[in-house]
Amino acid sequence: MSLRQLVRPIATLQSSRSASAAATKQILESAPAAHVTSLKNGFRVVSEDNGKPTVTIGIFVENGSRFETQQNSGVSSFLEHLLYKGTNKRTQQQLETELAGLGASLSSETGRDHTAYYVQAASKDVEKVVDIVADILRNPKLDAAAVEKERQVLLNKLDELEGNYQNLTFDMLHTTAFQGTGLAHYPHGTTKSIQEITADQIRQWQADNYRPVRMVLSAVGGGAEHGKLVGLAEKYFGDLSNEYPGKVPSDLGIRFTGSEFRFRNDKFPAMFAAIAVEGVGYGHADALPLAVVANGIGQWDATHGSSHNAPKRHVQRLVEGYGLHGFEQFNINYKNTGLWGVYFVADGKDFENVTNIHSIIQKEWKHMACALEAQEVEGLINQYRNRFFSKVESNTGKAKFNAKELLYTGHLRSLADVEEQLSNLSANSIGQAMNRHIYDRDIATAGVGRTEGFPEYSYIRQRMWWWRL
Amino acid sequence: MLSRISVRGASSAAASATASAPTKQTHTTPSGLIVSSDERNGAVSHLVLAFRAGTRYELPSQKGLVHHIRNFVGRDTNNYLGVPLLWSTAGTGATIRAFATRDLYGVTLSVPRAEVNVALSVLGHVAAQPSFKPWELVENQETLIADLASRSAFDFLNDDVHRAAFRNGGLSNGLFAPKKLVGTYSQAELQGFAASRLVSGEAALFGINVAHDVLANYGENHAPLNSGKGQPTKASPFVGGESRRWSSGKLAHVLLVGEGATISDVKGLAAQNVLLATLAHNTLKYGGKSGNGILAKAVANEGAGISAYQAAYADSGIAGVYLTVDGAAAGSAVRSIAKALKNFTAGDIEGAKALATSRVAFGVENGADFVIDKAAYLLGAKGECIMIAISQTTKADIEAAAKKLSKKFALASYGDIDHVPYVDEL
Repeated sequence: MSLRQLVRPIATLQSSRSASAAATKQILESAPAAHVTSLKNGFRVVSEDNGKPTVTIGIFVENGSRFETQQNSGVSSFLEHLLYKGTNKRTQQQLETELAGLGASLSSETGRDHTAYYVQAASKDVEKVVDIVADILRNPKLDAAAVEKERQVLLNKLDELEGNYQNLTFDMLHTTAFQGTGLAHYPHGTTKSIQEITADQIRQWQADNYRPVRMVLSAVGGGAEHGKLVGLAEKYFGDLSNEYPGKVPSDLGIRFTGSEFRFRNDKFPAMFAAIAVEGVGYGHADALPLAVVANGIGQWDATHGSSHNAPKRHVQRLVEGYGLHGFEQFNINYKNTGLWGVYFVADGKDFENVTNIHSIIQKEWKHMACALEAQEVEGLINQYRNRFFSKVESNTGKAKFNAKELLYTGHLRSLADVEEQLSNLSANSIGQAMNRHIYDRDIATAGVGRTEGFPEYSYIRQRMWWWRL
Repeated sequence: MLSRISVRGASSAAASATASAPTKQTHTTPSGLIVSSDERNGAVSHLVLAFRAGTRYELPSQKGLVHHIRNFVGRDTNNYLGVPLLWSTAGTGATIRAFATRDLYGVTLSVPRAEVNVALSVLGHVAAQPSFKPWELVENQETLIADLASRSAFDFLNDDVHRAAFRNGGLSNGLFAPKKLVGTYSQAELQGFAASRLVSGEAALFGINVAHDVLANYGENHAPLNSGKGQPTKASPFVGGESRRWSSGKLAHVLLVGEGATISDVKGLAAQNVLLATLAHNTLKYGGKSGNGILAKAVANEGAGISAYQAAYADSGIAGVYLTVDGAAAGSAVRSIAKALKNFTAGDIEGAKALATSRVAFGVENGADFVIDKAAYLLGAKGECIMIAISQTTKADIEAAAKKLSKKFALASYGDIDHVPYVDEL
């Protein structure tokens, strides 16, 4: 840490530091509050009026590939695509024209356990936007021609995904880590399932999954006045019932299996690899410390400005000629489980090199579990602050945060609450969380491409603990 | 962590910078440094220190020099060593990014607002006082090679279309150093460029979520900026032309542009943004490949992907479309676009105005990206609010912008381009 001391003299204005730390909290506390209302049928509305000229309105639905089966794998994303193809009131062209006329745009994403639809628009158009989104969700046409056309689009997309090695690696990682459970399924389905899914199955899927207790309307921006949005939600979604005409969605439970998966293909340009332990669910008390550590592991690739001089021990070591092209931490929180680890790309020409890459990363994990110093913790927390609070700056970022909070935990933290939790973290509490979930835990590894030099399971597993603490 | 961005600010939404907010303040210090701030009551401060020192200021013998300087950010400075500077920012949680456009070179920094004073003191040193130690030159070379190796099709096109559009003018200089010139610049040459351009009279310091007096105090009393003013650059007007680059793959990538608005010309920029919104926009994520808009419809049969493109500079600009299309269909796609541009007549423009307005508004939301656009505006423009200008835009303005754009084209193509017509055939 003597290096840091050298820099102190240039920090000419440092005396005001603690005062401004308090000011941060004050600023967060004075931020516009989000209000939550639950309709009688369980449909939840969360809104935050921040007076900006723009607004994001999103509907978040708990569904996704973890609730699917091998037969209907990909049906959630199939449905998501089809909702763009027009409703009983509006054709796709009308939808496009109407949104363009408002200067608005519709976007969506389907993951393993949620689908999010959101519209970015001008703040004066809140009512019109809710009307459009409700129409898309409640009255989709799902006609046979559109289904066939979209099937082709999805199959082409599957072809394209084959060249997306990162996505492939994460699919393999889920397949092995969550084998035998719903989380092993691919969000985009398989060629066979996409070929075979029928329009009826898609309709049935919507009927069983788009139920009010599984949905949240989240609005952030100007004009997102709570009373108005509750009224609109009541008007458009208040009549939805909680009956499941087909079958109640089930995720086939949670089970993490320490295991490995290799997909060797020497024609791929490199080795793509992921190593992970079972993370925690979104609402878990250890979710925050684990997110802080993962964020501190960070990300690096060959175009980065800092390598040998990087302000991270492990980056300085990793760039020392092990053929690493880049790495990136990940920390995925599903509702009740997660994956926590590192993804990396290397030339994979040599067993020693790949083992060393793994070891250096694992050594840093062990350091975070056993040997964190208070000063380091301050840096880690600041890095997380930077990333987290930047992410919720935009209306869309904040709307997603609010919706996720409600969907996964049932209650809502304000940004001031998150700041409070962050400032309460210590070397001790982070170390304990790391010991509970990372240190000497089973791992799942996935290797794609040039994997000849990928070390076998036991070789990596034994590096999850230390002889000496 | 330190990362680099090269193309930002050159294209996208230079326009968004002119959106005004009541909490913003701007003033110029006696040394010529422009200091500006914007309080949004957020927990993260986003700072930028930028100089009129982009690639257009390179002499003909200095192609790629600014790329070298950009990649030096994070190494030793004249007063402090690079490692301690970086390690001290890591303690504050800061993210540092170095960027270069044709107009500007600079460094952005995002940091939790309680740490802004420490971060600010680092910003000036890393951005304005690089020392280019001789033994660092070789190390730096590797990072340039990595940058060149990771260029996307768009990166190639973006440089190529400027070369075509501005011919021998300063704006034709690429953001990426030519491969053969990587590592050819000496310490003295780099220092010479820094001494002439990284000076207070050419600089702007902008911050979001930081008190204006903190920024002003730093800018006036503490920033390690050499005072002075750089030589003005020669104007680099739009000329038009062509650049083609064959590469493997099935797709043809095409950038077709014409003369666009400058950053200072807020009225022209507004009209251009409305025009681009009518030409191509994508309001539905899964609405189909081409999206919507006049040009999107013109190429829907070819299955082309299309998006609007613009790059506005202090004295010049280009605007047009970026097209990706199956190589075999490229001929008719490019021809129909050129034809549609030449025969443009404005229909109902209210929707396009709404789209242009909301694009500007969305561009402001993300502070870390917005600061670069804002720096370009502070150092290049003297305009008023673009939102108001958009609302006052008329059909005639848009048709004038289209006419200007289609008078003469600059065309850059990359990929499977055997069917892409030459610009003189359009």
